[in-house]
Amino acid sequence: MGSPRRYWYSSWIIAPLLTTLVLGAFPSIATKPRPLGSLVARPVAQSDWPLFGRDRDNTRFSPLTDVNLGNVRRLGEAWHAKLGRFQVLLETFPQIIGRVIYVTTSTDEVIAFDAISGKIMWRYAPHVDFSLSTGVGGYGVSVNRGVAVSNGKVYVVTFDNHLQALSQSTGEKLWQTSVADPHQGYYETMAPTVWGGLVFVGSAGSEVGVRGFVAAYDAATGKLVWRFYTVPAPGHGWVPKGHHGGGTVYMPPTVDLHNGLLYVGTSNPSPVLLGTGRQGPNPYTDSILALRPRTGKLVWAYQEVAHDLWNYDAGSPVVIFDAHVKGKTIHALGEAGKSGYFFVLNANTGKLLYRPLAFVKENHTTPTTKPTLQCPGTLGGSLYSPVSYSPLTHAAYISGVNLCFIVKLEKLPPGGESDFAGTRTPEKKTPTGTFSAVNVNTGKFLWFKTMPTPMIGGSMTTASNLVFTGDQHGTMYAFDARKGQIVWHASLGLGFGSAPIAYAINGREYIAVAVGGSASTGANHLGPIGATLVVLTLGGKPIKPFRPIGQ
Amino acid sequence: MAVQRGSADHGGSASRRYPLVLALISGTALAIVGIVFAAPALASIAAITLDMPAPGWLGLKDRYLGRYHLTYSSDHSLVNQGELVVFSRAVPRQRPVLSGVLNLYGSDESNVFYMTHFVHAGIKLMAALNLGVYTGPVVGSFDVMCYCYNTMKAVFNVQDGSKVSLRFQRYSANPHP
Repeated sequence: MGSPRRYWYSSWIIAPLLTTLVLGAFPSIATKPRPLGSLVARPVAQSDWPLFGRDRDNTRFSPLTDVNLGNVRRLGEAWHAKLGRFQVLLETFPQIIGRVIYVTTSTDEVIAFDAISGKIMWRYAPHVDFSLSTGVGGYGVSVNRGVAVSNGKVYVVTFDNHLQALSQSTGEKLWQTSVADPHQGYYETMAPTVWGGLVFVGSAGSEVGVRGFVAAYDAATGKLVWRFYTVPAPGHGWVPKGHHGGGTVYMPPTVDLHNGLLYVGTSNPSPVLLGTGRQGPNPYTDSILALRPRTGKLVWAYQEVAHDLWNYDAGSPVVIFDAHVKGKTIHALGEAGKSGYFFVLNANTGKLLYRPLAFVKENHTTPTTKPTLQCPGTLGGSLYSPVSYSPLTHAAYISGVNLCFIVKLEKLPPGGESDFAGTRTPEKKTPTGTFSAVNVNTGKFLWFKTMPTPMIGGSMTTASNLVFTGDQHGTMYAFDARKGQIVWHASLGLGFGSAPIAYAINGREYIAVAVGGSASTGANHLGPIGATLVVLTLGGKPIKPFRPIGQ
Repeated sequence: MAVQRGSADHGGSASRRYPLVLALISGTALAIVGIVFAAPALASIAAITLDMPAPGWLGLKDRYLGRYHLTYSSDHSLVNQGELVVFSRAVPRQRPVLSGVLNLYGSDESNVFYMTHFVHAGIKLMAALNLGVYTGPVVGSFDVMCYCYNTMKAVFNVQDGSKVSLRFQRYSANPHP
């Protein structure tokens, strides 16, 4: 019989070992967001931005406080990197793990930078055929919204529908799998989401009549695990015969660690402007869908816009938070769509918590064969712009586009956005934007700002009550998150198609942003375009605007 | 009997013929002098007329439509592989426009250019190279020096003055496989 002391010692070895095994087997437990009480204002040696929205709730909330209301005016440039001689338009959302920042270019290159010096660690340049969707007319919407990094691999989706896994340390391609057929009009712009050994991807192309889906692939091998089609096949259900469908998923799905669900936002049905051939609400289009991440089984669906005739996608990524409504704490989620409304739902049931709030000008009617003005237009509302959420203010910060379009039903020739079923022209009036804070407990504005240009890139909030964002003229702003005053601004010279992130290394805080304009910036001439990654820090060099391409 | 020159009858027809001949000779001489002196000016006018680009590429569109592989590049760091697609792009309320998508892959970069404004000047074929979208900033031109037997010899003229010689071979007449 062994000594009792021996058994007591062995428990100190066994307990931590068991704990590690349990945490490793359940990654959801290991990566749950920290509770609010742990957000202590003290210097942080290192803080990453390891996911698209920083945390699994997609809040884009940074716990860092070194940069605060008292010293934000001291922000200056730490370093910058032009992403290529012929690179333009940047919708990439940088991520940082350890000391490495990962960004993508609009031609699907992946670049790993040393986050302190800006030195390129490695650069991966895939051979992507941007002409393969010439069925789309090759209308050139080649942008890439970033990567997902997990378990030593970097995942990227290319314009021509390949999901690729790269080595995180060298950028070497490890495997590749085809996600969809580009000859059908599918193309990719999204950053994937990785969780639990799975990579979740969707696609773009609803204006061409592709059939929308979200799929899960094995993160180690690239093998397809499941695919959920958001709309029926052509000629079935409400989808007319022919090349029609829609309901695409083009932004990173959100994994909810609290209730084990996966949320996706879907796009418009097609034909886009013409609804006569697709009777009824066209379910699961312009919707938030909740699926089981391991199986793709649908749990609930909430449709923001039924029988859409205006291209009002539920495009921006879902953000998760707790809402305190009528004395109850409700596990909730929010999404700001192209419809120009912010929706807040019960995350467990999909029920609307309160009346959606309009954050842009609203005035739209059924399209006809005569030109009609639609507000927001087909590139208005909130495009793909990620909402940020602050647990300190209980507010969601929403980027809005006031851009009306004149639309007209017309038969279009083959090619191009052939299933748009009409034409769209931006109105001659100078487009503006909005940036607003919505109290998620009440559904009312905390504050509301009209901005000089459309606001497209999204935002970031911090534990020092700052909200960072930028406009299409290249002006970067820091707002007081509680009151909405602009406390700092600087001209970076290139439009914002992405949102800032914050990280800390060796106790020093940095704020990074990729500037260069979005696809809409380029297509609608909303502002100067280029492709530069810029990193700011307190006491950095004076900020000088970057020179746009074409000047 | 010799015809006496200067007789009234003969003298009358001879006197009309000679001034006519003289006038013709003088006029021709003047014309030659004029051409000699005016030639440079005329050549300039001709040159200006010939150099003005005209819309489209010479000949039938079908001659150029399709997909091409890059077979030669003079700058391997910028371009060591490439694909070109020339196709008719649908533009609402307009006739289809000859357009192109030029993918150029280098050792550590991947670039795409959208080709628009296809024009020709003499036998030289040109297109503008746009970044980002078809209406994006023009960063250079794609000048085809020779198109023979499905081979396109071109120069990528960048606006900063640099040039890259490229050669493409058409492998499919169908831009949309």
